[in-house]
Amino acid sequence: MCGRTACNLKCETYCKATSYKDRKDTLYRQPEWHNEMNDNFEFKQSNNIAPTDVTPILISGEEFVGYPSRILTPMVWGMIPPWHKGNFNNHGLSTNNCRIENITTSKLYSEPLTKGRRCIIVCEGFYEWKTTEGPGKKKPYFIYMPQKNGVSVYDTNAWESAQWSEQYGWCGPSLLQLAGIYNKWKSSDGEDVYSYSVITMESSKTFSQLHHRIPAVLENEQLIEDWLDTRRVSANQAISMLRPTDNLTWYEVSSIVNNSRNKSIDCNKPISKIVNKSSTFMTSWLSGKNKNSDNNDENQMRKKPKK
Amino acid sequence: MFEARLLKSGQLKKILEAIKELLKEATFDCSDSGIQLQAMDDAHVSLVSMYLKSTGFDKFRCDRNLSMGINLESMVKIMKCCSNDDIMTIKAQDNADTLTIMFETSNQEKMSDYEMKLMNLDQEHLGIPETNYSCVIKMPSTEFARICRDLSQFGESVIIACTKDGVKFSTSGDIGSANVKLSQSASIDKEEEGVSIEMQQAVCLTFACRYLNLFCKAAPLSPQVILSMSGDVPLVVEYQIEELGFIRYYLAPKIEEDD
Repeated sequence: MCGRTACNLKCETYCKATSYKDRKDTLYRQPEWHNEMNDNFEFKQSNNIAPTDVTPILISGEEFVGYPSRILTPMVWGMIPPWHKGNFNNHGLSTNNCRIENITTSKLYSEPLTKGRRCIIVCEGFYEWKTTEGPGKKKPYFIYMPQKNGVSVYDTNAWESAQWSEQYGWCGPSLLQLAGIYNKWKSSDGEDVYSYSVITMESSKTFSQLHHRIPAVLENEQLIEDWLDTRRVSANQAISMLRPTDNLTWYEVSSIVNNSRNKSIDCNKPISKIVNKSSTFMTSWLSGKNKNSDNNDENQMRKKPKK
Repeated sequence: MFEARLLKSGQLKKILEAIKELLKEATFDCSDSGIQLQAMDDAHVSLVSMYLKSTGFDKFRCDRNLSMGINLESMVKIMKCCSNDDIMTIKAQDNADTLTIMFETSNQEKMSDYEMKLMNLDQEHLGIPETNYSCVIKMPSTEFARICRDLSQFGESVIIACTKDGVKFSTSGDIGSANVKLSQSASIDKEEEGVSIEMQQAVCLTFACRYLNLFCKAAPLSPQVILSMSGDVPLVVEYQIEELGFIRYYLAPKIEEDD
């Protein structure tokens, strides 16, 4: 399953981090950001994204702008069934994931798939609750692409201040790119609303120590290009190239992520990196830097020989 | 060579029960004056300081100072193998990577020994600043445990307010609020059964219930608990272990986060 992600970067940063070269290109180009198709739905960056939230989605521009270059556009997580009447978020179905096993037979997913509505969910990583230790011991983990040495995936600054140039493209941390399908739904007001679902499959051996299902990760540029190019690559071909990846890494995070209302930046930090004021207080007291302790005490401390 | 013999292994059992939920592993520093442990929990919000003096042991020998990194969960497993009345001996060579723990029944009819692997732990050297506390509250440890348990049903944090009239523990949460007030005992037969307050200045601080409840696991070690508080310093919760030493827990007050 994949039901929680982290998308806490600016729109521009997603554009840079998904830059690419077309076959004829010599320089890198960024996907254009398009908001206008989904005008009521704006992407709000957060480290704790849950279904019904709106996140950046990478697609081929064909359906939207009439030419095949890539675009990024915000869409609602959880495919809204085209037959649904009412509010966009009260269809009551859990459609944040579609199982690869029955994607071609599903009433909901087979139609957009044959229409070529394949998309890529971009995020810094996703969360999974480890269930393999038995019931009642669910621990949340943050799962992301392996990064270059010394790069912390939870450090927003590493992303936001990373270099981009036409010549070298994106030099920052690697985004996680997941294969999905999207669809269009008409609201009662006649507005078009775009929504998506993440494709999941049986886990690889490495990942199964965490969870038995894994989202379909597009781990290289070739896979990304093939997944988006619906003219050249048929639905069946595209589905058959998806494999459970072994190329993921993860760490345990705090259970504050359990509640999707908690949008704290600590959500995707390794537990050991979370600093709260009480611990800062304790550390400064122990090191004798507490501003309120009187000088006498401090001097006495210094005079004491340390073993 | 390090060797320490304790007539009642139950005492060490209780000590481990009192720290194992705060610390997964810890370094026991042995010297000829005794065994000392100082460590912070993972969140660095609390500190455990334990001292067992050599004179509290039946036999104690420590030729060279020794730091033993111990996985507390493993040690608890070993301690479960003894009865409280068993005589216990802990032994280690000077540069050993294992610790030997032996139990013998008081009638010496059963002997068992366990060997445990030691760990290399990163040691933080923590100097605990000497502090004059504005309030020192002595009360029965079972009463303190009861109050912490009761109040944690209502909220995540407890406000401890100490004035010359007494000490008030209060909390509030989704279902409502709770207050427990203790006054100084007027007359008591035994000191540890009463509540006594020494106060220079009134203090009111907020602490996380979860930690207080973990500290209360030390209640079986001592009939009395001593709470020391001052503004802008951690709370100290102290349990004196008869003839053997003490466990002190330090807890940073709760500070509201900005976001």
